[in-house]
Amino acid sequence: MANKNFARLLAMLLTLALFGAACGSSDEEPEEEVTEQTAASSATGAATLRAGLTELLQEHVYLAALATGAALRGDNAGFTAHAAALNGRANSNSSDLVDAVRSAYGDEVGTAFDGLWRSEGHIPAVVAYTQAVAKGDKTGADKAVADLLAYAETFGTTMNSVNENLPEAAVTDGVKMHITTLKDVIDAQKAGDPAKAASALREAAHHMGEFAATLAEATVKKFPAKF
Amino acid sequence: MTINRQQSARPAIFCILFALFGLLISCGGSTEQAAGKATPSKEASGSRGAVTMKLIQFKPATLEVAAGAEVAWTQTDAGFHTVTSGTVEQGTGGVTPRPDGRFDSSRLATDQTFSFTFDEPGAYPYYCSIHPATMRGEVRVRG
Repeated sequence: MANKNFARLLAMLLTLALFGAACGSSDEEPEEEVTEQTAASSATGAATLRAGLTELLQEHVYLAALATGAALRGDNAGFTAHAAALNGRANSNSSDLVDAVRSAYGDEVGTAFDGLWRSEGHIPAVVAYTQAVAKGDKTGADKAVADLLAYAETFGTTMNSVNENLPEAAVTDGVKMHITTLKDVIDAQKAGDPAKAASALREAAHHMGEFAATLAEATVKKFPAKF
Repeated sequence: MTINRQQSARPAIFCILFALFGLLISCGGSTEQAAGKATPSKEASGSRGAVTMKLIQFKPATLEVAAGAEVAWTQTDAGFHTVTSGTVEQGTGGVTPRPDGRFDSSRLATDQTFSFTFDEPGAYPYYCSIHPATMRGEVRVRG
């Protein structure tokens, strides 16, 4: 519910930005400049974007960890429920992230991001890694990791192509760190070490906060009038 | 950024209507992106068709050609795509691709192409096996 509200808030901010542009000056009436208020609105918009992305990306790792933990203990209902909340077609973390990107970057990039985020090399590869680890399949686990790392490269290149303020290497490294930290969570879950799993999950969530800051800053830089 | 305030009623009414329109759009549901819902693109000559893979989409998503036409797909994105015939099932937490074996490009790197000739009339759905959740298309072959 909070994430859906965030996506709608982002869309509303965009609408308000367009509202401000549409309400142009009239030849008949005097104008009044409100630059301090504008600066405050911009700072609030940027902060809202960063906070919203942080919430969504941290929710991503928490739901992923809940799904992998359920899978590893054989809780199929739990896995299905958390996988749906994570990556369902609608009313999910993935759909909220896509909505947020779409509200800032427009339909075409939003559609591209939807495809990229839901790539077989991302969440399905995490599922494949978890399944391989569960049955001790090192070959399968190594392939899943290779798919995830290849996905990181593609993600970096694609995001740089839609926003030049996102350096390809920085985004790729950010996704690789996400993969590494989440892998640590899964490995600790498999090992039956809840303390280590919890510590690794905190690390994974903290990293997502840093990643969200990078994405938000680059988005604000590309669309200063919107934020 | 500077916001200019104005006093007259007419521009204000316009602005209110515009904002309401924008709010209605922003509060709406998500846009459906499934393949096959766009207006089919008809190629000119009937003997050839072209599809571009760009920004994780097949463009056009739906292509209509005459029987016997050769369709060429060109991959322009970073990373890889495939052109795999079949359908994709939507599940609660993801999708399940269902290839039908009619054609499969294997992985196409940037600037690589794949071609297939459609001899029989009918509808031929396909997808990218790396991005099956959203990247889907259809070739419709007329007799």
